[in-house]
Amino acid sequence: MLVSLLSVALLVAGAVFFLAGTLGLLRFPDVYTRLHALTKADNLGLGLMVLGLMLQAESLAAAGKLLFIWLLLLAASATAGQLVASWAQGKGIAPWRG
Amino acid sequence: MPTDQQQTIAETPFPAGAFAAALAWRLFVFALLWWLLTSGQQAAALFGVPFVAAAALLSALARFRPRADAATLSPVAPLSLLRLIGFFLWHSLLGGVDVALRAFRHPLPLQPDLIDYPLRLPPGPATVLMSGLVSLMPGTLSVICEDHLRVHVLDRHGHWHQDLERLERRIGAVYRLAGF
Repeated sequence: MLVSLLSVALLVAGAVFFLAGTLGLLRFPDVYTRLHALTKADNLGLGLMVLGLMLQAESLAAAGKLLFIWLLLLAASATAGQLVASWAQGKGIAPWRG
Repeated sequence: MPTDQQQTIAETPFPAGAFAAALAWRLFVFALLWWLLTSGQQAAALFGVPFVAAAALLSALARFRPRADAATLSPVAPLSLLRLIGFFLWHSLLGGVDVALRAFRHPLPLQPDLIDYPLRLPPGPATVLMSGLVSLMPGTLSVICEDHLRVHVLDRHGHWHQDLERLERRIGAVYRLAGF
């Protein structure tokens, strides 16, 4: 019971960060600031969701697989974020300065 | 002096002990990954054995390829790695909360800027790790990674310089680099 409650709390918290990441993507002014929202908020959101799902995993291998998915996503999103940012820089897109 | 460096590489005997340790470590990690991916099914283990062995061998050979920066040959420091993981987890939590709060506020609390951060880390795996982790830390996003790191910061008046220095010190310690 306690484990289920904790799991639900983690899943909801993860969803809040996904919402914040999407809100940032829509509201932030330029490509660089939008990348901040996507890389950081979504990584944390997925991390919390993975933790919540690991609490309900049927086996140790299933829990490990979930953790592995999060690690792969961390590597992919850090790399993809840097690629998009350096592409924008190469195109001469100046950052928004407020 | 490039010529001196090349000579030391040629004269250094192949580190057989360190290679065996690196190979054993990789065998363990790749076997664990295969076990995770196949959910521990016994029938799949037979297919996994040759691929785990080949992946571990290729990865270890790539690690011990002779190159100019001989410092990268020393194995990672396990305690420093644990400290880096803890530091990273805590700061990625802070980073997510920070950017989420900014996304919800009105008007947007952003004063972004591009800054150049001169790297003390040598080129190679340490620098790649640094530029990857910078993007997951609060308020910083790495743009270009060469001899210096070009970083996009969300708040130009924030303490990003201090954060970058702390991250760089911890990564240097993991790779047992002198001066970190």
